[in-house]
Amino acid sequence: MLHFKVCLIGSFGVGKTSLVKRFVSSIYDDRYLTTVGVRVDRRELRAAGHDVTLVLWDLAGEDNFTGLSMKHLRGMSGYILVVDGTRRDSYLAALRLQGEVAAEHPDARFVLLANKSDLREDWEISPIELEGLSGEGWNVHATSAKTGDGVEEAFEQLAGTLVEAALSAAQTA
Amino acid sequence: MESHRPVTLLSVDDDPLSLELISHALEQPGLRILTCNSPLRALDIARDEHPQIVLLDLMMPGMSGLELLKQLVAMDPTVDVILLTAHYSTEAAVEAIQYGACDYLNKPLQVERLQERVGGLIAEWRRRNKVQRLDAESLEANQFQGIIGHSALMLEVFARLRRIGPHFQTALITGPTGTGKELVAQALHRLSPVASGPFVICNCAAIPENLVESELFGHLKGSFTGAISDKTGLFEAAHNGVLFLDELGELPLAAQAKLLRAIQQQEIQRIGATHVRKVNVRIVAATNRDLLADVERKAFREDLFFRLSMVEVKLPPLASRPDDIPLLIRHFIRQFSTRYGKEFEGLRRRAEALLVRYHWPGNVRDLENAIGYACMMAEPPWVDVNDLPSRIRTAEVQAPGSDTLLVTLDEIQRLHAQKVLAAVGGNKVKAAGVLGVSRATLYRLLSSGGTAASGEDGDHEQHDANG
Repeated sequence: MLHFKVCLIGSFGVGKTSLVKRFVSSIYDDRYLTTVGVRVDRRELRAAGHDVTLVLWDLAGEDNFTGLSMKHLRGMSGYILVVDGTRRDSYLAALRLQGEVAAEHPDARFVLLANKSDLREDWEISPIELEGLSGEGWNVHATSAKTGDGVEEAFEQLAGTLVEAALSAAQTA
Repeated sequence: MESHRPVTLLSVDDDPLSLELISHALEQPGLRILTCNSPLRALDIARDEHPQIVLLDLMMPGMSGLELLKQLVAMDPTVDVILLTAHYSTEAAVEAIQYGACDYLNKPLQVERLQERVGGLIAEWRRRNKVQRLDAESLEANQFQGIIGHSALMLEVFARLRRIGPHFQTALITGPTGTGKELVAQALHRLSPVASGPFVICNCAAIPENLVESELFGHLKGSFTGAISDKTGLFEAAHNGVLFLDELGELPLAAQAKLLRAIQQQEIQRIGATHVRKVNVRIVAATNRDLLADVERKAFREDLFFRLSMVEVKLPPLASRPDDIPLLIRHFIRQFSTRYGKEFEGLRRRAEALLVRYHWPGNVRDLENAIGYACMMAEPPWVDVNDLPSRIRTAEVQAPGSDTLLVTLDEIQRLHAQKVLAAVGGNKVKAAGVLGVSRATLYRLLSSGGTAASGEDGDHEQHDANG
């Protein structure tokens, strides 16, 4: 069994906790409770032919990382940048966060989830922008924690990437 | 009708047509538009004109838009910069955002989108401005003589100070440490008929026992070894003003007798002098001790206690007036923003909620220190939970009430005694009465073993491992 620490990162209210709930227990709860500090959850799945446990660290919403919150990222294999498609500021914050996190954890793999795809008519991010990110090599998924659309696929894709990276690292060693 | 200060927008582009288009598209009342086709000149304009919004072309000769962006943000971290990219480049856009741009737009510019983004920034800037102004007004309205509060407990204190100020000869301020006793003493001075006279502070705990008399009443040259010249005492220094005796409970018994005489007779005698001098001094004394208990233990003179406690102002602990905490937070945020040269807008709501729930053993001073620390650690414009001292963040995890479950009975007794004592404003006689024990038993309970309830100031992560 391969274990990976994966952190969920993004602004307040983008749906990080809801995405974890949806992925771990297939539940969507529309009560909004802000996360203080960190919530840790886990789920086992099969990815790239291996049994994998994702240990999901759901970090409190932030628009930028302080030294103190950076410490929560220590030892992570990958991270999920979450954006609320209806809030452009959360998208811009994610771009900032990506720069900060990548500088400290250059080997960590990541995906960007453009959440709230069930409200797509209210989105403030254009599809061209997300395609542009994909063109730059980012793994981008449109998701809805409410309906479950795209959630499973996004987590599975990250898990697969993490497995490949771990196997490749093991071969190199 | 509310009037707006104009917002200044600087547009930097080497293409004059683009500058013209932007000026034309954004022209509106209350927006001052400056244009510039040279990045180097743009820096000078930014330094002189302090624009709130800058529109910046990515590709310019002399200096790239990204380089100019870095310098503009370094010069003024609050400036909102929108980068304009001639060709769609996600890489450049991401880089710009990571360097501090607030957004990016692709050329050819879509006028509607440009108007929408700039309109949003103008509205945001005005909102921030309005909040700051309302904040300042609210602080102004909810302070009395420099003391901040709008809770019922503090309004009562303010009303009492208003009544006492013009008439008092002696006053005693009691309350736990860090509740602002010196501020209250200064307020009494300002409200008194001797407001134009001196306000002299004497920290009774800081004077060595053998020098207390000399400090308070002065001495003549040669009156004792080391008296190399005449010295004016604090009583004389406070003539026609107010003498603030802080931590009065620490004053030695021998000095208390002389203090009482000086207060009652309004005359002092310098050490070594043969005659007395008349003074006109109002006394404000302060203590965090239970003076009545000290009187009963014969550690404080009864006559001096009754003389001083005729007019008493009791300051409540901060935890008993949580309504005041948001107001105090705003006050301290402003204070430390100025001190550290950082422009904070305030605390994130969840950080404020944490501070309001905290038990503040060191009261307002404790809160001030916590905000000072947070402002030092935080990156403007917001202070968040992670910027707060870890003992406060840790207290959040301990808060739900399970903290007293796995402790000894002795510890529970000690914690309960502390809570009761805090609830009665530190009055040990009252606390003993409430608990139904003697004062001796109360002292025993308070000093019984066990570690302090608050966590030490180390690194604690908050994990809710519910998976």
